[in-house]
Formats: sequence, C-alpha cells, structure tokens
Amino acid sequence: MGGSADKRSQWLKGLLDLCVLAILTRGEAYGYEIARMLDEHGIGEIKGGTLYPALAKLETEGHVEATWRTSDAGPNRKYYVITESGRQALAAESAAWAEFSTAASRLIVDQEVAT
Amino acid sequence: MTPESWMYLGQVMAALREYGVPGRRIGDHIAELSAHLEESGADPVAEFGRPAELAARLAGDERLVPAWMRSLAARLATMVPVVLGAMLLVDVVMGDRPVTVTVGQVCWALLFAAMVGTISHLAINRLDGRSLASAIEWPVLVVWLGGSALTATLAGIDRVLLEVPTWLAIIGAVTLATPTLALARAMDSPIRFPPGAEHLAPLKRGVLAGRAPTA
Repeated sequence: MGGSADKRSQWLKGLLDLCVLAILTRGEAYGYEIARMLDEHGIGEIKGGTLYPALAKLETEGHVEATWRTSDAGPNRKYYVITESGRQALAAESAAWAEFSTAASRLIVDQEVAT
Repeated sequence: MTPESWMYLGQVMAALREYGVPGRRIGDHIAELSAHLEESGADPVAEFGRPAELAARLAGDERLVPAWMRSLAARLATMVPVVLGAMLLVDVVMGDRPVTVTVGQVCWALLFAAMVGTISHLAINRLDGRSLASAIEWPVLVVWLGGSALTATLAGIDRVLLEVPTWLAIIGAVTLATPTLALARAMDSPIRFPPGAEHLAPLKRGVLAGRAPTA
C-alpha cells in the first residue's frame, strides 16, 4: 500500500499542476476541496505539503487567481479560479501528456503482445 | 487549533520570513494552512512535512534569500563587508583623516559577523528540529574565530592595512552596506493576514520562537 502511494507520488511529479488546472476547469475550489476532488478522481491522497506549493506556483505564474471568501461552515477559504493563461497551458500540456501516456502505455501495458 | 498547530504555523512563518517572502504573502500562506488544519483536523507535520521544508517549497521563486546564503559560512561572510562598511562610515563622520582600515577593524568585523551570523543561523536551524550543538557548525566557527585571532596576533591590531581618501571611503562604505540594507528593507514588509484570519495575529508576537499563544 505504502509502495503504491510512493509510486503514485513519483508519477505525479510534474503532473500535479496539470491535474489541479483540470480540476479548476470544473469550477472554483479551495485547497482542501481540490485535494478531496483529486482523491475522488482516483489520483490519490495529495498532502497539503505538496498541494499548496503547487497552488502558490500556479498563482505566481498567473495560471490561477485566488480570492478569500467568508464561510458560515468553517474558516474563511481561499478560492482558486483558472485564468485564460491557465486554460492555454492546460490545453497545450494535456496534448503533450496524451501523446506521452499513450506511448508509455503501449510500451508498458501492452508488452505481452510483443512477447 | 491545537498548540502543536500554532507552534507549527509560527515556525513556518519564521522560515518564510527568513526566505524574504513579502509579508502579505506570508499572511496568505499561514491563513490558508490554518484553514486546512482546521477543516481536516490533520496533524501539521504529517500533512505538510517539516516547517522549514514546507516554507522552502512555498517560497519557491519568491525567495529573496537564496539557499546558499543560509549556511553559517555564507552568513558570516556576508556580514563582514557590512560591518567594515559601517566602520568606514563612522571614520568618515568622526573626521579621521586619512581614513584607514586597520587589522583591528577587520578583526572586529570578523568577530561581530561571528556573533550576529551565528545567532541568526541558530534561530533558523532550530526550526529544523536539530539539536543546538549540531546546528552551530562548529568547524566553520572555530576556523573563523581562530583565523581572526591568528590574524590579529601575527599582524598586530594597530597595523594599517589601507589608507583611503575620504571620498573613496564614502563610496566604499555605501557600496559595502547597501545590498544588505536593501535586503533587510525588503524583508521588513509587515505580515498581513487576509480578512477573517485576524485570530492568527498572536503568531506575529512569537514569530521567531514559534510559540503557541497562551491566551
């Protein structure tokens, strides 16, 4: 189980930004909510220590914008929304990712066909 | 929030400050981490990792203080030109003519750098959870202090190393001191929490020690 989580964590490196942007195309969300949605989509549990630096980087790059909102149910939350620049980055990189993942799957998953 | 969470957030805040992250950004990060802890009920170290490591990742490209400057040797070395610059300035203001740099002044600069550099270095390295003894970096300090003492003994305290015209001393003093003063000014932006996170203000009082507020 721990090994599986470690592997996921390795695979996610360099891909988390893209996953976060993809989540935000479904609507604005705050940090803890984004982590839960990533988990629900099968990406796995993303710790805050990984997620918040990624969000900070996306904000610095202008791919997301953030605003603080009051909440009746708990603490005030910082909501993130994807920007036009974020959408463009997602579109450009998702195509590259699709190409790469298809090639990797063909190599790794379909190996029995070749042997 | 638990006392552990308060302590943790105070340590992250101090480390972000050390990296030179602007105060408004620090307040934003701390409020966001606090909200996450409140909602998830998670243990801060299990959720975010060690405070100094999280701060380094959050600071990212915003770091005004690069990683290499966080070593003791670098801290000591960056202090020396500032102290020497200040001494030159004092000489100019006091009207000593010609302005001289003596072995004694250089040794004072080295010793002062050792004192201030070590204290600030310790304040940060304690955040990493290491013991004080292992955080001091004894070999660096011993070589530094030993070198200063040896220089003073061999060369003589009053020996004049340099004699410079007043105008050059002024330019030298300003040149030596300006970068650090500019950096100190950049790091001196007050920490501002976003609306609704004012309850975190007590953290500012214990920012270096990372203490949990008592009230």
